[in-house]
Amino acid sequence: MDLPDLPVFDVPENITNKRLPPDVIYAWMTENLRHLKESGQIERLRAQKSRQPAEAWFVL
Amino acid sequence: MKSTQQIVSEGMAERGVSILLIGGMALPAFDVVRQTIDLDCLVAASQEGALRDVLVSAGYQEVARTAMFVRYSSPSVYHYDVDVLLVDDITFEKILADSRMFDAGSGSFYVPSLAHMIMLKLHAMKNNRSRELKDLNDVVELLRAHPGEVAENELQAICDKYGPAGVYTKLKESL
Repeated sequence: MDLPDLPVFDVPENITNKRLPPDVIYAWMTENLRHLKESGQIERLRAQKSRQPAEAWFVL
Repeated sequence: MKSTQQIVSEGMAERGVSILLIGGMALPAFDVVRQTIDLDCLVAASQEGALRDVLVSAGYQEVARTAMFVRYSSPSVYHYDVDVLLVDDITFEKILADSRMFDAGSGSFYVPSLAHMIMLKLHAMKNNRSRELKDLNDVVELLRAHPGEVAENELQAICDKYGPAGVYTKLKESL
């Protein structure tokens, strides 16, 4: 099998070290959600066993 | 169009009912980011009707319900499913007392303390073993992002009480 050369992204250090503001993080998550819903992948994710709730009360 | 965060935070504030953001959408409050397809929240079971009113008014439909859990879904591609974990009033007040406000993009929420977040993750994992990979990873990332914030003896006690057998050892191997 031929091993492809993968692109190297030159991400400046000041970007990788910078904490993103919440509105950027949540905008990114919502855009991903839109893609998952429009592509139909959301149904596969919704069906995962790991999304089933715990059948026990959480009590402190 | 209002975001899911706006719908929930503004609607509950208008009704004067407290709610806690938990799950994947609360992780950025602890400097951990991953994709999620739902907004998980914690509500006192006695106040659950308020959240139902808020979500149904915004076009959400109830799609699943057990004694301690409700799931709502929206037809909008921009709206997250909303998963509601119900707890008794005393448990809710204890978690709320240690919580803090967090800006979740377009809505502000109370988020639990780090220790309570870990307890909730371990509890979910213990009672649904298929959650272990995802939830254990979340706990590891939370602890990596906040080294030393939960004392070693406290973490072990939390694991013993809320987590599946052997989870403390697994955590230590992963950190």
